[in-house]
Amino acid sequence: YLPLLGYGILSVVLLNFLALFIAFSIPFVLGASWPQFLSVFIYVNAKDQGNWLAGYTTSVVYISVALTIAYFYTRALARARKHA
Amino acid sequence: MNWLVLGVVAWLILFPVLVVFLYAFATKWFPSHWWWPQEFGLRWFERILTSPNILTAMINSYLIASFATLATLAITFPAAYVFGARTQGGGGRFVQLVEGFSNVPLAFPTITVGIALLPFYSKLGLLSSFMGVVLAHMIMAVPYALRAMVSSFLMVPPEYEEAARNLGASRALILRKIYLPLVWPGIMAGGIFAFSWSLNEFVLILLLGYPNIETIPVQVYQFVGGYYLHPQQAATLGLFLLVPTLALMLFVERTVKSSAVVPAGG
Repeated sequence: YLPLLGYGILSVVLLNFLALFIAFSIPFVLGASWPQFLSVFIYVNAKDQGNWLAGYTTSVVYISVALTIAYFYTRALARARKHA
Repeated sequence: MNWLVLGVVAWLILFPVLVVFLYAFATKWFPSHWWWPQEFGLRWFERILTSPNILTAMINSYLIASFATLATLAITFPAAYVFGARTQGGGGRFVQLVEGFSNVPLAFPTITVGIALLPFYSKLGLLSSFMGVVLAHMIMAVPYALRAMVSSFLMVPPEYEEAARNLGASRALILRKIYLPLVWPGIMAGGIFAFSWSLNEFVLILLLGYPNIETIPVQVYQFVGGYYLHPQQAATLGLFLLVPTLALMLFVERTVKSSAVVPAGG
């Protein structure tokens, strides 16, 4: 079964990874101060410390990584549909 | 063996809900010493419902969610008609590009959208206003509503529209009399996904609506993550968010029989 389900499992793994990568609420309330989650880092720098430049630069990196994961997810989903 | 796996998964998912209910209804409970509360009562509910801040927050929360859902449905209904019925998932390059791009906001980190909108909103003067928050919610709620509605439009056979066109109906009449009764479960599913997403949305309101607009998640955060820790009142307030969301999701599961993709939220 496992090789046949390969692309399906990969797409589910990528989807869950993406959902937890862009999460903000849970790391904001329960997260530690170091090492910090990236979304919490952006929030603290941009809003509380007033360091807008750090917030924007980190946001660019953050969204690039998230979109890369989303691109690989759509590719895995298309391949899973094609093979099934 | 099946029941064991099912039991473990159900316990993992429902245990936080149980803890929220216990915190909300227990007037005396010391979780570090006892597994079960000593007394049950409604003390926290009285304390929550007599505070005007929190009542305003609840009304704000549901109003923002309703407006954002209605506006999102108004935008995504024509889009779902084009993606689902007119082109049946195929379509020219432009349509495919737009369809691909309209699913991208699912992958955006919400705080990035909030930070990006902040200077625009302060220039336009929408910074802590109702319409600003509703617009920001619409950006992120569109993919949730669109996915549910497109899958519902794809299930309508195209012969119906062709027959109606042959008999001379205009586009508005076709949409109203043929598509609307057939895709109505999809519209309701998309609307409920967008509504519960908007209800649970925390970051955008924290960033964009700060002094004037407060909703339930922001108030819960002030009980839990700020200077003091009041899990009982946070749980009581969270119950006003949890129970409607669960009820709506149950309703969607019952009415929509097709396999609509359940989106992930954060």
